[in-house]
This record gives sequence, structure tokens and C-alpha cells, in this order.
Amino acid sequence: MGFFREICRAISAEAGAGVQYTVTEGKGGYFQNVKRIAEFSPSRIVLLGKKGGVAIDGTELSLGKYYGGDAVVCGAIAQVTRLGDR
Amino acid sequence: MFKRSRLYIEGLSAYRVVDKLQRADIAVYSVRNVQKKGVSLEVARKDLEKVFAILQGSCYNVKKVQPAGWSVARERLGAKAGLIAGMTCAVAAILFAQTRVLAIEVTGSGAYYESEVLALLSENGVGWFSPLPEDPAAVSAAVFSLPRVSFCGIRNRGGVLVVEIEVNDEDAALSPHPLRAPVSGEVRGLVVVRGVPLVSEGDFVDAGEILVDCRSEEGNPLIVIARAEIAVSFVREYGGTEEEARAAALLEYGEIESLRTERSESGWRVTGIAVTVADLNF
Repeated sequence: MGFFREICRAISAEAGAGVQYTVTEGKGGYFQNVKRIAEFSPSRIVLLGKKGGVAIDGTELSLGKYYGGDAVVCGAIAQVTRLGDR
Repeated sequence: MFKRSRLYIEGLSAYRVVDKLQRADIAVYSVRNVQKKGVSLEVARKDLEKVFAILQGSCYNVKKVQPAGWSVARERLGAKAGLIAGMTCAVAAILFAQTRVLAIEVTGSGAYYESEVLALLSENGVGWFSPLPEDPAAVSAAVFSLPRVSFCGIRNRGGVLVVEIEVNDEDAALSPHPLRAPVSGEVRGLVVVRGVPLVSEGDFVDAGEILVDCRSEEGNPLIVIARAEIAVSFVREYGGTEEEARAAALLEYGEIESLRTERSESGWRVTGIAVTVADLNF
């Protein structure tokens, strides 16, 4: 149990600085801890966090809402790729 | 959604504007790539001034600002204010006209009473473009006073006041006949509901003379509805007692004015003015 807790703590520590997301297949996704947008097009959106970022590939992509570090990506998301530390 | 504006921003990597605005604590909605060097996005209308302040002096051009969400409807309604005002006035005029009499129809088997019905309605303040009758029962009661009327219904049908009159058909079928004097004498009273009167009160007429004609001035046949009272003086002798003589005279002449009796050689001489009533379809 102690080892598991240590792993979780380590994962949280890493994930806390990066972009966290929840994606609904074919609908869109909700992304947190977004610092800036590195790339924006209908087929690819790159969101960068404090550490690392995510690349979102799909079709007819757009930003439903972007505020306070939270971004809603609308469209058909085909793939989310985590990018390395910046 | 209710109070937003849509902006079209042109420039290299225009999407970076989104980061700028987000850092300035401005929520950005519906960000889309509309062309190679531009993005469209929506912001709250209250943040519009802030957005222009942030973008001032930058390399980005705000190409167009449009209302979004409910603001679109409000702007379009404002542009068509004249049309909306006209439509509102038209609806109000239609609703107002519904409360007015635009036409009067007299229907039913008593439709020939049209002129009399119009006169009765006019007496009760009902005419073209007048308010609908407040108390139709009062008008119905007046119509019932017309001869042979057995039913009267008044209803409003979209601005048309429909007066339905049914008459009693138990009597002989109506046909155009003139009213003639049954006896010779003086016309004491004349009531003509329908027909062309040829005599007046006070005229002396002969038996069989036409009192009310069934032909109009244009020669059209009319159903005569009229009543006449004709007074004729008489002198008659009866046998028996005085009371029997009086009774016999009343039996023979009906209503008698100035009845007098005096003894004669053969019995009693009765004099007076007999009033004979003649009516047609009354």
C-alpha cells in the first residue's frame, strides 16, 4: 500500500504541472492547466502546460471555451498525444 | 451566449490572440480557424472594450465585429422595427375590428323582416362599425314583437352580426295579397309592417277597397303584413228586451262605440259606431 501511495504521489506531482484532459470519443475534450496554444488549425491543436503539453489531432477542431487555464476542444478528436517537457 | 460579440481577427498566428485574452482574464468562446491568417472567436459584450484595448498597437487586425447569440436576434429586430410595428398595428386593428359590427345579415324564414330588424337594431344603437350589442336579449325581445316570429337568435361571426329569425308557418302559406276593407267606413287605425299603404287614418273607404297594396313602387310583389280598424255607423232594430237588443248588436258588430238604444215600434233601435278589424298576416 505504501509503495502504491508513493507511485500515486509521484504521478500526481508530475501530472500537476502538465495538461490534464478528459476526452469523449468523437465529441470533444476538456483540458486543464493550459498555459498557451502552440498550434491551432481545424485538424491539429497543440496545448502547452507548465511542463509538457498535448497535441490533439482530429477533424473540425475548435475551441469551445478557453478561460482560466481550462480549454474545451470541440470536434471529432481522433488522437491525443502527450508531448515531452518543454 | 446571450450577450456576446463575434470578432474576426486577422494576422500571422492569429490564434495567439486567444492566449493574450485569456491571460487578461477574458473568457473566449467558439474559437475557429476561418481562413489561413485569421480566427473567429466570441467574447462577452462587456469585455469588448477590453479586447480592443489589448489588441491596440498589436499586429492583429480586428476585421469585423458582429453580435452573437441572442444579440443577433436583438439587432435584427431593431433593424426591422418598422415591420414589427406595422405587424403589431395590424394585429391590434384586427382584434379591434372583431369587437365592431362590420356587416349585418338577417337569415332564416323571417329574413323578409330585414328592414324592420335594421330599424330595431338602429334604435338599440347597433349599426355599421358600432360596438357589438351589449344586451342581445333586448334586441331579440323587440324582434319577437314582430308578427309571427317564433325564434330570434343574434350572434357575432367575425364582425358580421347575424340575426336569425324564424316565423311560425302554421297559418296559410304566405302569398302576395292586398289588404282590403271588409266594410265601408272611416279608417280609424292603420298599422303597416310590410306593404304599400294606399289610405291614411281618417280616410273614408268603401268595402273591398285596397287599403294596403302588395306591390312595391317598382312592381315587385310584397307579403303584406298589416292591420286596419274601420269604423262604421249603424242603425239596427232588434226585438226582445233592451238587454237582449244590446247583446244582439254586440254579437253582430263586435266592438261598438257610442252604443245607444231607444224603443221603436218593433222593439229596440240600436245605434252606434262599430269598429271592424281587418288584418293580413298580422
